[in-house]
Amino acid sequence: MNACRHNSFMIPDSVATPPAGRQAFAILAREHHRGLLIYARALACNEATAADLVQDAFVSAWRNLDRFDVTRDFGAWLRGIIRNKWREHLRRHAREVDVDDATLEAWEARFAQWDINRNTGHAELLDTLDDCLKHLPDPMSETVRRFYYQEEPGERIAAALGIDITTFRKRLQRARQTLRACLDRKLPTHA
Amino acid sequence: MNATSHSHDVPLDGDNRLMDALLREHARAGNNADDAFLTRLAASLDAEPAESPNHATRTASPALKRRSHRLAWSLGLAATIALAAGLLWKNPPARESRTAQVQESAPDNNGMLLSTGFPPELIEGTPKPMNVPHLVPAPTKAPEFYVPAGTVLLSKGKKVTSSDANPIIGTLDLVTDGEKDAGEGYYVELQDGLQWVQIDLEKSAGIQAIWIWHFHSQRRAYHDVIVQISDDPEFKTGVTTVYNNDYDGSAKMGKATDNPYVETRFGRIVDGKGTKGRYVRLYSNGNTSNEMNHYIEVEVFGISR
Repeated sequence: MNACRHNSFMIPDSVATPPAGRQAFAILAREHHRGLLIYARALACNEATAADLVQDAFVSAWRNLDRFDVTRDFGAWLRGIIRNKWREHLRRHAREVDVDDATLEAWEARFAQWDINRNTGHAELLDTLDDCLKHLPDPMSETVRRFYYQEEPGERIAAALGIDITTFRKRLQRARQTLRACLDRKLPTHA
Repeated sequence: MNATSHSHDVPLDGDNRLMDALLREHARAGNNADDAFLTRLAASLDAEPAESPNHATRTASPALKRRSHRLAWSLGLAATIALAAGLLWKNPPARESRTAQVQESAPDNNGMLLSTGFPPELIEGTPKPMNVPHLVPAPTKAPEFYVPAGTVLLSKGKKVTSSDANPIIGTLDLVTDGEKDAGEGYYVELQDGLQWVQIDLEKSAGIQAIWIWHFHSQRRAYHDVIVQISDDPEFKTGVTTVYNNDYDGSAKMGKATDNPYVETRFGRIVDGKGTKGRYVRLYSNGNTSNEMNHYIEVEVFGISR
């Protein structure tokens, strides 16, 4: 190497972002994308927007890999990027509403728990949710199944179950609380 | 859809909202990786310039180089762990995917599976009879359509013009704004009769697919759906018709080669066949529910030249 380059040398692509780095990034994307889609969906309440936010966040992360602090959690870093993308989105869509800081902090804590076994692509979280769903009491289970998994409108479900719309909403809320408590019980917590 | 209500009429608090998102994501794609999403991500990363400011050959301090080595090492380690976990982890039974976006593997010869986001189902009102011949039934899952590698979404945010310069409801920019919900505020309504919208891709491209959502909160079929591609903004020369379901020839734009179809949240994919053009024009002439013309979203996919 030329002596002049000792103080200012070249980082070739093969070092900064080698082909192996791209493969590794793809694996990290596979490992994290489901959790990030859940997070973005909680922010945006819309499947397409959530997918776009996560997609954009991964691309930004790839472009700025050299700014990633390797002592930090990759998922937490990407959630930060998604939050920034979400705020950019809000500036263009005034009718959508931001999430307050306290809620974001609470979600971060929740993801810290859910991220424990992210090497399996959040499969443990989703498998545990499957298990919790099986143990929901019947009226709640039917409501959740029809609303989330069959995407029936609330009014139709309420009519089919012979309940009014307020009762339907209450049932859904109770079901979500029951499922959250079940996940808390079954998923390991940080040591 | 309002961000805070999310199909509920009352806002959800933080914890409820997170659980709501978890359930919706679980319902959407089950327990496994979302391969359609990952395919789209891979295409996005492939489209990144080979020499971006942060990745290109550059000068750097020794500290930065050490950091880059650490990063590469960390990524490699994380990848190894993930691979090992993937090998050891017993795959759960396959779930039925209602969106059918997940593919087991992309066929090597046919390029990649085209994927996009789908709006939630929103059915309102009583559907009217759809008395049109050769009606293609509503799909129960997302269509599968393969496009060459390197195909990307070209139309998002691009300028839209129309034969109806002053739409009755909504604005023309809604056609390419990326929002596909069926509710109020997400669609543009053009006046009755044969009307068109036209998307300017800003430069000529090889168009592989046009994905169309006219309106999907009520089952209906649109008449005289004709899709054309050209480099001429006036569509007077070099016009290629890639879709035409004008079964009675009323639009006088050539013989129908396609059948009418039922609108759903999955939209309709039109094969662009790699046709070269800068402009995409879409016609319609009312629908089986009323005489108006609607567009929620049009996505044009292709390969920039």
